[in-house]
Amino acid sequence: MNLRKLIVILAVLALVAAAGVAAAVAGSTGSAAAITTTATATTACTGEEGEQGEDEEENAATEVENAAAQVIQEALREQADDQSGDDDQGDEQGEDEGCDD
Amino acid sequence: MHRRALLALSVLSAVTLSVPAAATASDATLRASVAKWSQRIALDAHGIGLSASRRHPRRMTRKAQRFRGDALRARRALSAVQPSSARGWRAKQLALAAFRSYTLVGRQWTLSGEARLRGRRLAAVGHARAAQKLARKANRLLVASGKLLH
Repeated sequence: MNLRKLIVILAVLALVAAAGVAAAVAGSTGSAAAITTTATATTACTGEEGEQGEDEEENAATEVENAAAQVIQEALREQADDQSGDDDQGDEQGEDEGCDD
Repeated sequence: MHRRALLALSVLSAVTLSVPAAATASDATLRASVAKWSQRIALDAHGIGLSASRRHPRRMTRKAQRFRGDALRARRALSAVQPSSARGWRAKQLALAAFRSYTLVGRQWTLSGEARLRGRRLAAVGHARAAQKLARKANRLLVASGKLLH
């Protein structure tokens, strides 16, 4: 093969590889941005103040810590459970996306 | 000779362009994955806290099972990601350890809810306290992982 052609092919391959990797990076960044947007919406839904780019890990740690405290309080409570609201099924609608319990 | 120099330059350019970008891509994938599963865990935990505060142990137990399932799925998802830097690898190990602890937290919350439903208050309190202890450990690991990735 002509050496000049080989050089051209290698140069094109280098450009294609660089473009592919750049697209992958852009894709990852886009996913992260989408996640951040969703998290911000969720935080707003729960009535807490949030900022763009809020640290997801810190937020998760806070939520888990709060939940752990609530579960202990519930276990310690001597008051009877709310039987009417604690149905076995059919109460999942809107729990994740919305604000309802 | 001139042609050989051009050839060497082309290969060098390809390597220079692709290697650092690929490293960034892999660590960015890990960062996105940890953020996604952290958000999932936060949502689950929020629901568990709400159910507990409203005295709905049955719902709380079901959500605790979901929390555990999501922690297990997070571990599986993160295991598949291959970080490209030493910092990324360390972050991955911390995140995996965190989500493993979260599976144990979910188990303890489930046991606590079940004990509450059976009227076994002392057992419910014991499992809830065990969950809190495990949760603190998991939280520390997750936050440490996040700090390495950001």
